[in-house]
Amino acid sequence: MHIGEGLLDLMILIPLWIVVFGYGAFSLLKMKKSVKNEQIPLISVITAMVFTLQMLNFPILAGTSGHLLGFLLMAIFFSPSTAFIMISVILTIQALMFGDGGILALGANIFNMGICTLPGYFTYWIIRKKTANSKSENLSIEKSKETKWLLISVFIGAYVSIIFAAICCGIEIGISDNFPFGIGVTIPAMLGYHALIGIGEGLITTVIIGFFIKYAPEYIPPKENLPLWS
Amino acid sequence: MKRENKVVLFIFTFTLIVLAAFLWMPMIAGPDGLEQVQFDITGNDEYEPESDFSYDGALFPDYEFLNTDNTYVHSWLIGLIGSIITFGLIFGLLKLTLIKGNSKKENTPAVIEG
Repeated sequence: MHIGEGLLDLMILIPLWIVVFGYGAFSLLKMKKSVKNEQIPLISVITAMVFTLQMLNFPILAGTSGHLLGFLLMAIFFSPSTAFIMISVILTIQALMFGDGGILALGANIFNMGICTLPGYFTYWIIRKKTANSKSENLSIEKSKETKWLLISVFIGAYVSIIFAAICCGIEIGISDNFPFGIGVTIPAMLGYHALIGIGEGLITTVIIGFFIKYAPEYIPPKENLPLWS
Repeated sequence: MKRENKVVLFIFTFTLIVLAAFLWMPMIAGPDGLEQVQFDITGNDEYEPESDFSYDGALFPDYEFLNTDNTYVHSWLIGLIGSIITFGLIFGLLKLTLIKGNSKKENTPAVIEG
């Protein structure tokens, strides 16, 4: 979903850069308060892992492929603000070092994958708040109803995050003067493919979270400590 | 080494090895969702209109590395390089951010009561 150079005009790029800088500053402030020193290695490792996973394309339909976005995965482990910084670093490296996505379009790409994906996290947050009943700090709820709901919330949240990112991307391209087709064409086209890619995103995210629930449940925040923003 | 760190290192190494050694097989060079949309609409999956700005500074454009034709080696190496750079950059950024934040807290003048 990396938008290349020239697809978006400046009237779209500039406001998105402003939003990204503003939200980036907000996220850094939130992170200063919430992230502890001992969490830094884990945050770095998960960021590197998501970078690697983003390189792996899985086939979805007739030669089309998709890859993990990973925002929800990172937000579940830490918080949406921290996940925003993590995805920003990934996208910046991809753009600067690998030419994946435009430099001017980097703000739009960060906006799409770090902000437009927030409804996915909120969906996860709401479902978990409504369904998880555990008061255990260690989340030792294997094979229980709660685990099942946790995994369901992860899958739905991941799916929703992809759909919203695709809608934002479709709107931006559709309203850009540089692209010859409007949102009536771009949004349905984006939604069509990403409705399938979202399933892949949901499955990969669910498998990774399932792995952590089984082997390192302390990394999944319990309901009581589930962050909404910070 | 703390158990926590061992788990972290294990997951990191395990993920890289598994991804590089096994998961490269389903990797396909086909267009992703956005590229496919561009192809469907414009007939070109790398549709890029004229732009005043062009950036040629990418070290590994399109994830190309050493011009090797061996997809296995290529994917493994570029994934490893990218992961290490990503790890280093976010680690450094967080250290700088948190150290700055912590030093400010430490410099806060203490209030002596009594």
